[in-house]
Amino acid sequence: MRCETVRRMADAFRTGELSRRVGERIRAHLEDCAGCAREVSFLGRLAAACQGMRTQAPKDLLERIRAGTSDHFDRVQTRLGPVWVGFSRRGMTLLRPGEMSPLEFGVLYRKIRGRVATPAKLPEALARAVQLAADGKLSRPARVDITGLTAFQQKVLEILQTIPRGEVRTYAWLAREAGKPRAARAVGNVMAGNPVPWILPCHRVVPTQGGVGNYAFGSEMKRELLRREGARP
Amino acid sequence: MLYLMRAATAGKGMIMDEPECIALSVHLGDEGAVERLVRAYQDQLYGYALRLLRNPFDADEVTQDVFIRACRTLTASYGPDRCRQLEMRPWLFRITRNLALNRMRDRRSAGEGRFSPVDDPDVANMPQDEGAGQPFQILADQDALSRALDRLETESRDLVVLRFIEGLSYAEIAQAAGGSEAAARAKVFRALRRLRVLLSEGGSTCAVKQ
Repeated sequence: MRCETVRRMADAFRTGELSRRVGERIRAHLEDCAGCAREVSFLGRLAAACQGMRTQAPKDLLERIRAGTSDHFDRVQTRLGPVWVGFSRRGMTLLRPGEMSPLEFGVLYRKIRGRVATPAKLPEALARAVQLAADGKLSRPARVDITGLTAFQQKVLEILQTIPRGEVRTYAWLAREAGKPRAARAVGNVMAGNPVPWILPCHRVVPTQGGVGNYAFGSEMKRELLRREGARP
Repeated sequence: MLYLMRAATAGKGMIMDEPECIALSVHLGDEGAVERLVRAYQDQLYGYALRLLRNPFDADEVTQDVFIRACRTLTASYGPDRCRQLEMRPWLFRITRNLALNRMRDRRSAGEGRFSPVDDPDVANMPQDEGAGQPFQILADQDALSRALDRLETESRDLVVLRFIEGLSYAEIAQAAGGSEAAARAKVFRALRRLRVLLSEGGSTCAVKQ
């Protein structure tokens, strides 16, 4: 074996990362070649010196990561009853009206959003938005986090936010606005899967043929929300 | 049975000294899994980011971002099988490497670039002198070694840090930085040659001081 070849593999040899056959040949070379043996020894000393240069991460890093990796949830009391709200740093991620245990909501959260959520206090601005929505008085979009949904879902939900309080639109209108005029039924599915109802106002979308149409939490709640907003479907 | 399972996982190249599959634990949302993941790798990843970026604020933010992204990927994008087969350490180093290099690029294009040895023609065009000798005595001087590392071009510094400070195997370096194991060996070899030139220079100035 030539010295050049040995030196190229000397470091992998040092840590036993070469095949046994190649390792044996290098070992044999080193017995006769002081220069290459010194090279292996230098690499060992370099590795040892570098070990002493390891650093420690800042003490509060774990705390910051914990805050950033976990979503949270809280229960809000409104004039339409209790509501469970999941949220991340970006905004609300899931909203479900009705009675439920924290455990039940935690399981539901993981199933729908695919992430873990732990109980924590809902930021005041978000809690206020939920209460305003229940009163039919939410006129400005509140912060939501709909990352992880498909591009089509996100687009439809974004357009949905432009429907003003007190007005309604049809599924067909929403499909046209999203650039898929034949996808009214798909739009209906997006509405049914809306993770943050009330805040993303899927209750403002009604069938072309009249009536309030379906609602994940019953047509009665949809009609009530529209009535409170002053809309006449 | 346990023996059989271990044999099966060993065949897939899993890290054997891991008592649990941490990727799967994070995926399943196990109590304290994120904390165990962070504790196991934060020092290595932060140290690596710091050596690459040479700036504690950037290194801190990049490391934080690495873990947040990794956890989101494990819980929202990867299934249980993919988590089980994941080699955590090189995977995390790869994310760190990408984020750190992106940040360096952003910093440069934002015009905040500080002095970089790559831009210094004297250092960039230095002869790759094989006969620079064996600066053994320099290794005893940690500051000199640290300075030499900081003066090394990004690509070489990256490899020397991965290999010698963080102690990655060549197989892991290949996964973290891309390319084959043989290519990783060749790149580290070249990086060491550059480091040696810088070390012997630092050595001569030290000698003058003494």
